[in-house]
Amino acid sequence: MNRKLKIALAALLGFSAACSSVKNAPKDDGKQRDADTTVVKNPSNPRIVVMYGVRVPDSVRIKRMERQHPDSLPPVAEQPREEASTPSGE
Amino acid sequence: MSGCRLGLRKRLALNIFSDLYASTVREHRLDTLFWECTLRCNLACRHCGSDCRVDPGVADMPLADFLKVLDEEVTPHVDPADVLIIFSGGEVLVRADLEEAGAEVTRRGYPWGMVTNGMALTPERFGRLLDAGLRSVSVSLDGFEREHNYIRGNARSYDRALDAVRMVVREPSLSYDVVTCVTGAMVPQLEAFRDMLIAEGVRHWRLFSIFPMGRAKDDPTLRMTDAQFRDMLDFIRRTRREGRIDVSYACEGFLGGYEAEVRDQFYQCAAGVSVASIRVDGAISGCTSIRANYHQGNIYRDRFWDVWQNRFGPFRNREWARKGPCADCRMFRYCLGGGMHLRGDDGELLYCHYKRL
Repeated sequence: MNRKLKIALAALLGFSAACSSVKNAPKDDGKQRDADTTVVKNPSNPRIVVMYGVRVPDSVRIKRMERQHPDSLPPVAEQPREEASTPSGE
Repeated sequence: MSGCRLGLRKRLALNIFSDLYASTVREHRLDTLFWECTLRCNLACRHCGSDCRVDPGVADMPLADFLKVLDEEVTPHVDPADVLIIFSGGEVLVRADLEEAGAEVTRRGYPWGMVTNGMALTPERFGRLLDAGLRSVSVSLDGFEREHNYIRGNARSYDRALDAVRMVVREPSLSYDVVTCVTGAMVPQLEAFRDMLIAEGVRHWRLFSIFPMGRAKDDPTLRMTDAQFRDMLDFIRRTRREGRIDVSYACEGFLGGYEAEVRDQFYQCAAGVSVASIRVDGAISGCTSIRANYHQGNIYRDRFWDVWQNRFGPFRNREWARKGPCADCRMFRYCLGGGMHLRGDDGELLYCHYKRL
């Protein structure tokens, strides 16, 4: 069974985030800082922090996720690249 | 023993995760590098796994020695933006050249962070560290004033740590979390402590428990009973469901039925797989919480990158841990014998989280 299939299976079981090996952190620190009752939990942004370690900064986390799942970028992000025409019109 | 029970769905997912993790081990891409820059500390905490003290009798590693390893042995092989450097101790703020170290690491393109007890974190120092590129901080706060000061052995330590937390949470450019070593005395107070953290604006909180290393191993007042340990995990699970604060249990050990409910991910020990450390004496190992001698080399003798690529056998193949209480444990496939920091010098298991459940 290849890696993508395993990840898809884990997602089907509801554990895709738990199966990630990327050290992640929730994205929205700045946005959420001011509100006392904001829901912080974001299941799509899991994290592990090494025992004596620190949280991985968001930019580093995103870079690692892109590396691990290069084909999992949102379609919106990929679309401009696909639609951009070359100067020669090809 | 209800906490041990694994449902079918979770068991299937754990099997998949085990396979995925095996490929991560094969790849062993370095993404976190600890630099244990000092063993000096401005406190002498009861629970210190590193046995740190004001004068540990071990000199700090010169910054130039660490930078030489970065320049000659790490940077040529990695994208620096992808490798998090963590300054650890001891207490890192006792180093007068910490800002210089941070600036040099930043200049080379590495993100860096630090763990601190907050005692020496003044607003001025905090500003200089931010200027030096500080990206992530963990502040240790082990409970309310009485519990924290008891553990830290210093009457001012709670106030200083709380001041540090207040500085950190108000800095939007930083990743941060508050780290709490939960003792038996704190278990009944966890809800009140959580509410205090939320009121202080804390959004990220990590809990861990004493493991029997360093000074902590001889102090029964720091430990939790098995029932308290389960209470703590239940508290974390409940708090995560409420969603008012991002709380998790540290990466300490396999937690059976609690897996993926008290942490975002399934248990994994990343030591020697994606995490390396350079100790104060130059020793090369996995994460700095490992106090037993699993050193794989020394920067003053060996080439760091060669060690990272070709040694670390005990970290990457844990079959050797299938002995003692792990010999016939059905969970071995998932936990691989637990965290490396829970193994003594001769490989014996010091502590099993799963068996406490």
